[in-house]
Amino acid sequence: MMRHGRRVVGAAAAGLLMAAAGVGAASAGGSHVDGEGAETLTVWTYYVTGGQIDALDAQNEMFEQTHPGVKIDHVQIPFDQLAPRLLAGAATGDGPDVVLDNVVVDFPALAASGALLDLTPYWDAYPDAEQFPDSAVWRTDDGIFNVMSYTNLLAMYYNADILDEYGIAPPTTIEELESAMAIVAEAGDYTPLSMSGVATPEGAWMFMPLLLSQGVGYCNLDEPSVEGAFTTLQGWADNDYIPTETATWDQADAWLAFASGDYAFGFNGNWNLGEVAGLDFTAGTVQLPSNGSEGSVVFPGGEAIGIGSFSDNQDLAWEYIQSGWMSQEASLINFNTTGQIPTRADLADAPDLQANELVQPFVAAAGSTANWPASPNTAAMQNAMGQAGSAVISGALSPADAASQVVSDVTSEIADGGGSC
Amino acid sequence: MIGVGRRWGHAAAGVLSVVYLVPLAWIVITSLKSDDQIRGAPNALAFTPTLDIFREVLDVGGGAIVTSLRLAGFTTLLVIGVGVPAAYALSRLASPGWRRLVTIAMGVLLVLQMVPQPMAVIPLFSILARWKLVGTLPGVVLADVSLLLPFAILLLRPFVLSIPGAIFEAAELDGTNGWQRFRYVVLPLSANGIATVGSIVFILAWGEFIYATTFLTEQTRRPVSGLLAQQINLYSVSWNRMMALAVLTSLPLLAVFLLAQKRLVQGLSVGAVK
Amino acid sequence: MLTTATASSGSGSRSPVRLAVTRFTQQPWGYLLPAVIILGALAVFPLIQLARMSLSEVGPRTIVGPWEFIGWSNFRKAFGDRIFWQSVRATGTFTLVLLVVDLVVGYLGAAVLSSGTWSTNLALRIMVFVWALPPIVSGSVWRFLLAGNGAINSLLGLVGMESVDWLSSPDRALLSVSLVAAWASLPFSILVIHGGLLSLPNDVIEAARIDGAGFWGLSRHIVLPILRPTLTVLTVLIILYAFRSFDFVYVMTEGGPGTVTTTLPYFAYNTAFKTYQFGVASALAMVSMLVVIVLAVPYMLGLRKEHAG
Repeated sequence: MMRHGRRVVGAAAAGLLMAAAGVGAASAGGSHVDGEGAETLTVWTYYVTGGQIDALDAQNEMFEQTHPGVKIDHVQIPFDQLAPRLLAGAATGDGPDVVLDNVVVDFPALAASGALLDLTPYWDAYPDAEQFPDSAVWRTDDGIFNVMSYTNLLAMYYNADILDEYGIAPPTTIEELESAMAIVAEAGDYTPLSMSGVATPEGAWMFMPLLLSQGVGYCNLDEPSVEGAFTTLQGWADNDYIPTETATWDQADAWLAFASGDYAFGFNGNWNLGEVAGLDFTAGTVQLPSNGSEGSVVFPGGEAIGIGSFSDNQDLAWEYIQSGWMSQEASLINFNTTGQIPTRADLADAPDLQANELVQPFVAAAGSTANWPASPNTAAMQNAMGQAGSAVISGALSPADAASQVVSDVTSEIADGGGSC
Repeated sequence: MIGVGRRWGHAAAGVLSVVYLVPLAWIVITSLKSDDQIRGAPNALAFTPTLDIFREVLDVGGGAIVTSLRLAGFTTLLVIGVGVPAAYALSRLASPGWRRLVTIAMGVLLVLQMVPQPMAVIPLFSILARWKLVGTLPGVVLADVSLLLPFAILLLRPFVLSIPGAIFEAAELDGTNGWQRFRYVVLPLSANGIATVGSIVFILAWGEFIYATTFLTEQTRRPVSGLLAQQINLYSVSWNRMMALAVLTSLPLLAVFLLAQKRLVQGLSVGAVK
Repeated sequence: MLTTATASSGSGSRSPVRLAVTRFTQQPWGYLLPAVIILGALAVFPLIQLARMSLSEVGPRTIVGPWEFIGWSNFRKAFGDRIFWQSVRATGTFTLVLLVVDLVVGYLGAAVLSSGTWSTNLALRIMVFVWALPPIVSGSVWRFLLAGNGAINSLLGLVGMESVDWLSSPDRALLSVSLVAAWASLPFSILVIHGGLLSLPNDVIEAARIDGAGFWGLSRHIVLPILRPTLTVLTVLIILYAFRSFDFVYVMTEGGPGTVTTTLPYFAYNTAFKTYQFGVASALAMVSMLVVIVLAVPYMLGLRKEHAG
């Protein structure tokens, strides 16, 4: 009892010494050469699901086989920590060789932070560069910082068994969708639609196609159109086409709901195609129903690739990006493993892409995408839209109030960011 | 002790146990489901359990537990080793000048805790990078200590304060010096508090994941908290994996707690000291 | 008292080191020094950076680059944001729920659970074990339990009541999230109060009981006054927690539906790491800090009244 104090202090001192002895372990990031002359490239992603990791592993294996002496080290970072980690490292000269980041939201911050290398010299010398659409090459005034080899898109899954039961054909317009949902809701055995309405950019991504098919994007929002779309959304909530919980569901929740078999329709993405075979009902896919004259239009999502500014092996990193991601072979490996759509134009008609019936709507969607806003405040704009949509679905705000709020929020964010959009 | 009847004790224990066991049961049940079962019916109670997912997470979970044990262990030792004397110093009010200092110090401790952890990451990163501690365990330990030390000092102080002044006067009269008083009076009498706060600090360091994932990126050394955070991303959440990891990695915590809780739950007889 | 010079602990040679150590252990600041060094080296710099950022233009493009000083602009922008005021109110509700549950249920729970029977010991262990689960896990569990087709609604269905939108109804979401956070922090509160109860002077309590005092009388006149320092610190810590933690909001509702559950700390986190407006987010953090200091004033004043020795 009396010796307790001394023991505590002694233990603390021992702890300090042992902790100090732990110093000297290798610090994270950067490539290095080990004893046998092999080079290692460090790749950061936030991949978690089997499909994306399997594809990455397959692509890495192919690259290592064609480039003996190079090893790819895949480091998984939790989704929320990837961007902060890059930003923190930007100030201290610490980072990976290659990174796959959530470009549609994080690009302005990452590009300006100095964490990513300007790829312009590499891109200009890249023979395949013209195969890639502008939307796959992410630039700022200071250069090219991210390129996309694949994109993830939204479309509509449907439960073929339920549709057959009610004799419904897969809808192509919002009007048709609403009539179909009315039939399902009336019968009461199933819920019509599962979608994500969470108060974040994720929810906004899923809601925006309602406006995009009218030619309205973030850069040209007008209150009447937005209010109209919100009224549609509110109608779905009031008629029980979508559960109120939609207001807090993200993409994963929406998929979980659809996969349970209780939903007739589900807005979701191509990353779930791999799971369709395991469902205990027959699922089909069709493009998101169109809400206007522009047809079905979506924003292209997915991760983009960049080289870390502090990489010791920039040339090798670019070689890896070229052969291990952007090439035809790598893009097809990726597509066949995960269903992620290659951005290369010369693969649009590839047999692999044509072969799978379920993926066709996504391939078609990839051909009719809208451009993300180029404002540095793009994240704030998308966030505001997500919050507004979530408020409408839950009844926290009326469509009119939500519309006026979000239009003024987005407009001021554009102005704050220097006016470009 | 305070005159609460045994029956109240049993009743309250029952209610609280249920309220806290139900979520625990959900965790265990979910960890025994396969991917298909999660997809099909995440809330179902009737299902055929499988240990597949446990087998999957066993080896990565094992490494994570070791890292977490070292991380939380060293953090707790350092926090207690530095925090107990600090709490003692801030509770013995030697002079008016010192009293003013105590008030200021407490204010500083409060303010330091209000720096949001995610925002402290970036400045801390540059500090640790300067000392070449990024990517090392001591780096994360220091970051966790900076996070938990103010909290520990604030929490330890009342325990030290509750030692009656008469005991100190008696010790003084016996001719002891400051260090002896600290060692033979303060430490034993606040042992309850030290054990309590130490356990709490250990548990908090175990669960901390922002510093752990930012300052340690090597896959093999990821602690439990980071492993759990990793199960959620933009595209999906692996619920059964997360719950299986939660079960697996709580077991050592349970063991550590069982060791420490004897002192917490059974207590010491204060009377003997008098 | 510490500063009283007393006979040294041993005779013999007085090396300078020994002299220094003796000096350190005689004065109160000697015991404070290690903490000051560690916190000074690690915790003060982030605080300074936070203050600097709150007064500078730190947006998506300028996170790493030079920060332009813009005075109070960030604060003005924060105060002008309707979400800010909503989040202050939300945080108020959140704090209140936490305080009521953690202090009232906490005290009653600790009192009842300290009777030392096997059942109460077991309950205590279960509670602390569940408390040790990371918010990601416990928050996710409650998200499933409170879902539309979750266990809680199924229970309601069994007794013939209708399902409730616990986490997506604008009226109920904040209360639900607050209660879950309170549920998660209750074991901590009980543990701390329990530690205090263990140190109660038995003779005083015995004497009062012989005089015929019951539980409530004992609590009011003897136990609670003795526990005051512990309870005051606990209150301050709970307020601190309410103004800085956003784990449960993040895991369960991501601030929604709409912005109903966006508490101040979640708003600050979102502003910083989802929209990359670090300047405004720092201003929000500084405002939260100020609010907590103001709320902690009674505690600080109480410090001055504490008796020495």
